[in-house]
Amino acid sequence: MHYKVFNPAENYILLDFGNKIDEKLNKYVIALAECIKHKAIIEIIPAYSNLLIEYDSNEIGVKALKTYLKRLRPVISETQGKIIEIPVVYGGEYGPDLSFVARRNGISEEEVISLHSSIIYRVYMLGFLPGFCYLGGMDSRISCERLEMPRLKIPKGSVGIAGMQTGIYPEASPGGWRLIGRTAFELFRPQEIEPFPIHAGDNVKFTPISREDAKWI
Amino acid sequence: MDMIKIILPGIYSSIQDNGRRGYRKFGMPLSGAMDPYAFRRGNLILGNKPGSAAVEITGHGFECEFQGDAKICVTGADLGVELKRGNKKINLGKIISVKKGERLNFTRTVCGLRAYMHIAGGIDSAVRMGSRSMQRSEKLNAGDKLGVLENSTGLSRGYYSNSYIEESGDYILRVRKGPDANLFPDKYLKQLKKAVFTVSSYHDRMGIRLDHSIKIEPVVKSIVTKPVFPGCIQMPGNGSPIIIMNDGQTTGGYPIWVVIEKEDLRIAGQLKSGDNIKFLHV
Repeated sequence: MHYKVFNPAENYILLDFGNKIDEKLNKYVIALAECIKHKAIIEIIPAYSNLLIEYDSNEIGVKALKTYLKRLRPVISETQGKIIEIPVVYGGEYGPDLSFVARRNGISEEEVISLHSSIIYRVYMLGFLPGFCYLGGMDSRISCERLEMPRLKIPKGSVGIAGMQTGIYPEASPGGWRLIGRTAFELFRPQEIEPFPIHAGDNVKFTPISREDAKWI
Repeated sequence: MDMIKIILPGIYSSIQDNGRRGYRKFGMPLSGAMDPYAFRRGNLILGNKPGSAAVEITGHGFECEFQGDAKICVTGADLGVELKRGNKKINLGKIISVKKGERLNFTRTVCGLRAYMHIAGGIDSAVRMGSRSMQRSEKLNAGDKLGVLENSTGLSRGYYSNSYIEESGDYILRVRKGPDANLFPDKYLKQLKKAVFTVSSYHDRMGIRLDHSIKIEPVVKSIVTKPVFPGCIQMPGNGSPIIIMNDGQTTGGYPIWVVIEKEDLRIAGQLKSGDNIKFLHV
């Protein structure tokens, strides 16, 4: 696959596969990231359609690094990545904007919940906050513009909608997303050996649960 | 063993090392010393293993007490460091023997913003995800006690000079074109030579926002979110450039026009409100 190579710093190169969000492209980026094994490479950070590589410039030059990368033959696996189920309490005080999202789209709150929880979302990348997943594939019938005045504090675990995107706040943070529910699922587990349960390339499915089933309430 | 007691943390103090590698793909910031040169040199001079953790002190107002005899070395900004042994002034980059009960004071900001207090052996604190660097939600507080490791090599090497930190606050930072440079017409690169950027009051370990009088706007304002790293200069729609720093987000949706050269990041880590910067495209 064709990509542009940038050398934006002495110790970084950035591979740019095109400024777009595309599943096939993203799968290739993740597959390429996974097959890079070189002692001079310090860190690999895949995104939607870019791959950032930090390297030790004392160990390898840009030219040799480019040659090494060009020779790699990533294999995109045809099987779907693992599916992670996220239990969500929709509406009420946990989803203060659920009724607005419903009204905005001319559907009922139940339909918003049903449309939001019936899709398997692909995790394209992580960023913004530790553990925050950029999910793709939301139904356009539940899209909603951001709040004009962002909230100063959105509680940890809030599930929201912004434009055509949906996501979960891994920690309390200010933000302008429309909140439709909340989950107790921890996206960032600093005390564990594997602090991040969700990786780029995985899939996420939201499961509606009642307030009674949510032990954390 | 507890060796350092924080009496006054000042504006902001934290434990830092070379930062956290391998977790940026999960959105975890790099963290680590904002002035990597001063940090590296301090360890070298004390004979510590490379990357041994130190206390990063922001501005004056920090005070600590030693709970035992130790060897220390202070590098980075000149923050008027005095040992309360007849208010003896401490020279940067020198090995200083301190005794139990003595206090170290950071009395005034002479030049720069961040200093590093290294101790022989390095600071012992919990290693989380491969690093002792504190995260942006954490800080040192009055009364905190810090332990010390005993893995100094005992071999002192090198020297430290903070001659790259200007008392005037006027700096030239070398930059190269960023991945979105094609979104900015070439005329801006010419303007860049003359333009003076002023460090605003919005600056911390996450990023540094700059004020300027010229109008720089990308051709396209929104791009697909991509990875960023310390030194990247983001250009949001309102035109106020932001230098991404160590605790900053790992990804960004604003175009990256230029990137500060790795060797000049030590200067970026010393910038404070009101400092004036010129960029030199190399």
